[in-house]
Amino acid sequence: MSPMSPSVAPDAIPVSQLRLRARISWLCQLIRITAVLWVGWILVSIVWGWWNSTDTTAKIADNLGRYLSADLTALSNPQVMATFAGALVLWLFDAAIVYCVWRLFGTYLEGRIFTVDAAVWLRRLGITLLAALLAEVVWRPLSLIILIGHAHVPVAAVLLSGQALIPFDLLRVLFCLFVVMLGQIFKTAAEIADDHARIV
Amino acid sequence: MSATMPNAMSEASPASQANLPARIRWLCQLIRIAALLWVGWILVNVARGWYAADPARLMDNLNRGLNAGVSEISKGQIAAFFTGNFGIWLLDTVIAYCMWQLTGRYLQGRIFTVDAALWMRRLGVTGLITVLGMVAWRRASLLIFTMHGNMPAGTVLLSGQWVTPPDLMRLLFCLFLVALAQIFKAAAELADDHAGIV
Repeated sequence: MSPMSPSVAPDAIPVSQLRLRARISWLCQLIRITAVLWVGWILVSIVWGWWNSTDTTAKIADNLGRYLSADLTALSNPQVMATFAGALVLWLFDAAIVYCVWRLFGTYLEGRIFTVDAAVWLRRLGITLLAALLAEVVWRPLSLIILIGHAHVPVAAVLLSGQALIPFDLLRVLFCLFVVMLGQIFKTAAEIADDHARIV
Repeated sequence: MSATMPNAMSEASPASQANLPARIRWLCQLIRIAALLWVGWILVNVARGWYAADPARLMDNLNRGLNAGVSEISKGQIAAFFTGNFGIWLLDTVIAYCMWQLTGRYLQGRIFTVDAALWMRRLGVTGLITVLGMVAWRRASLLIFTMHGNMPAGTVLLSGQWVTPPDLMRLLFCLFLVALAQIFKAAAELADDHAGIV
């Protein structure tokens, strides 16, 4: 077994990677904490909205009605609940993102930086980010259709009136591509290191 | 330099490293195109928002959001708001520039080098500055729109959420880049040390 392989024993971790770990451990911890805060915050927002569904329904009817210049006062609780259920499904994607982040930086914290398993976690993170983004882009018009389903509003016109995609989506695509690319780089680095270990 | 560091591996396995730029070339090009599209899109949105700005609607939204009674918003206030947005856009262009430079290094095959790592760190740090700038600007823009009313600045500043989950997500992206830049930089420095010793 080469020293760079995923199942390497902790005492076989090269000194250079242990030194590097010491330099980045605070950043790894900070990223893990930020990720957990982020996903926790989204969950709290969803639960909060669900808990106060009567207020939320009135607010959505008012704000969305104004935005679309339509009367949405007959918006019902089940419609709003359906959108929250969808948001909860999207949150599961976010939770998967955080899990990948946690595992990736966990691997780094163990000093296993240029290893195949760290590279695989990077790639998984990139793919999960992309899946989460696609799910969100699909969900946005669907949730709008659910919320205006009862009103006499032309759905097609409503869907075409706003932007199906926003610049932040493109930024997320950029980040996904970046993470996938780094996964490829780290995987090659690990393979090279493995080859070298075999030769040595 | 440890024997496990990537640059030191080049002699042991030149084919793997030589193939790497070719394997990531399409990703680098895609990232460059996406970065240009992203920054162009934001500029178009800022320009369109300015052109189509409706002071009455803005005032209505503001009064409802802040539960305030702000009177008519002037053209000067709207201009100040969109100038600030343009300032944030300039930070976005710096982000796109850093991406361009970084992927340019990768396209040249200079992947595990200190300068590529530095561009990655610049990208992360510029992203962090932009997130902070956006958060501060959202508050400042509220002050600009309510400065002619009777609302105390403290009330305006304390209303609503300062930071939102997307801000935290952007922060996460940036910290991620800074951490990976640190890894790449350390790897490149160790490789340089090794080359010096050998």
